[in-house]
Amino acid sequence: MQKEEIKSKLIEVIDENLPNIDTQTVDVSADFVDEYDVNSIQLIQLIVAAEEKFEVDFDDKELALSKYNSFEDVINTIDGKVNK
Amino acid sequence: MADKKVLPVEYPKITSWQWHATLFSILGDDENFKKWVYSNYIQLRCYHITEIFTGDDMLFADIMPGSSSLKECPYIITSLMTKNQIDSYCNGDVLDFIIKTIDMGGYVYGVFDEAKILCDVELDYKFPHELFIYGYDKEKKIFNVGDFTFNEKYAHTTVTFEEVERGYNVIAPKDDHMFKDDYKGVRGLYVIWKNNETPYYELDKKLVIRTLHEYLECQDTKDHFRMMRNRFDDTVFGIDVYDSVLEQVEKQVESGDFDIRATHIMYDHKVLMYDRIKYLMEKGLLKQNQELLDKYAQVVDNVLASRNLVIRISITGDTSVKNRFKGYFDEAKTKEIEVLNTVLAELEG
Repeated sequence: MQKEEIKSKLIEVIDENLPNIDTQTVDVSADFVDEYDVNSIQLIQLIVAAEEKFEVDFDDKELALSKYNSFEDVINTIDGKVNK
Repeated sequence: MADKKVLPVEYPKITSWQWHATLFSILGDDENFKKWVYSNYIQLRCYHITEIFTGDDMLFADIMPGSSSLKECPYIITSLMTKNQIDSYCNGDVLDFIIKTIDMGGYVYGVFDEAKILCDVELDYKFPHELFIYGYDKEKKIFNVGDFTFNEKYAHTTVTFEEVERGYNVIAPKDDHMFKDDYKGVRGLYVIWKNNETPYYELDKKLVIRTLHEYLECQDTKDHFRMMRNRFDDTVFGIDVYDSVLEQVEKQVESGDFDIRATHIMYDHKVLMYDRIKYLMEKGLLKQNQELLDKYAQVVDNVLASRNLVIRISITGDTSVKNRFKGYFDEAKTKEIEVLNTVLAELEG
């Protein structure tokens, strides 16, 4: 799966799970804590939904907010799992 | 009187309870404050209480000195103001009281009905919660506040004058959990003054050693304070808190009713302990030992993974992964005992 496809699918997941984020204008490279107020619970909601969408598993230690600065980091992690 | 004033705050290192988040917001990375924090905040304790909002049984866990830190930290001066005083000083106008206090450099902390802040319509229930107020803007009619309620995480944000007034007016003495245990029939606000220019407290190696022993040996640290308080005898201390929290999480997994607060305070405890060990190394009380720090970092990671696993289970409902929680806790507990015994031996050597 190409990274662009992962990005567009993850934006769908964001749209379905983080209603406070406008996915029409979302900047995946922005600091998602500063820019979109993403918190630990929201990140885990996103990852759990992404696990289903991409049929991948995230280790519990990969659920930590401090592991990611942006949605792009989540995309890269999914890319590493899908295309390993 | 100014039109706008915001007192200095920093995003707090620990956020698990409002009193800690408030204290760390005010004092942040202050070097004097660090000497007090790293001499204290070592012992962990927990006990069962009735949850004030729901009436449910709750395992209340905290790092000592707990909420007393807002009265007893040597780098703040806290005035307890009763509602009668506030009414008398400002003709019943709490907004005027808060603004005047901020103008003088005082932070305000008190119980407000945050249901009235979150929602415009009349509700038949209250959500009494502590609000930390550190600034105002008269033109926009807003206060700068620190709280967990409005952003689903601890955040420095704003609420309107009207919301604060509404949330203050409806609190009865029985709702004011900051006052009711100690001062029956009275409610009020804390006014907190930063007092960190003069060093009042040195890093206390003797206290660190004693409390690390008490943590590892699960001794009753509050026994030292019987002169002031002696009401509770059902408290679990130190390393045994792992077992109490594990038992509580297992019950939550069975019932499907999740509460991550106890695991979150444990995570904050590990974050502070890691920073303490690093600080003691920087100050030369421990020799530099990256291997030891890396080992304790695994404790921090494991406790964070366990907290996040509880969140995962609460979202997915998949309880088949619950054994991983015990695995993380067991590994964290074993490694923490090893690291802290090494630290103790070196401090005592």
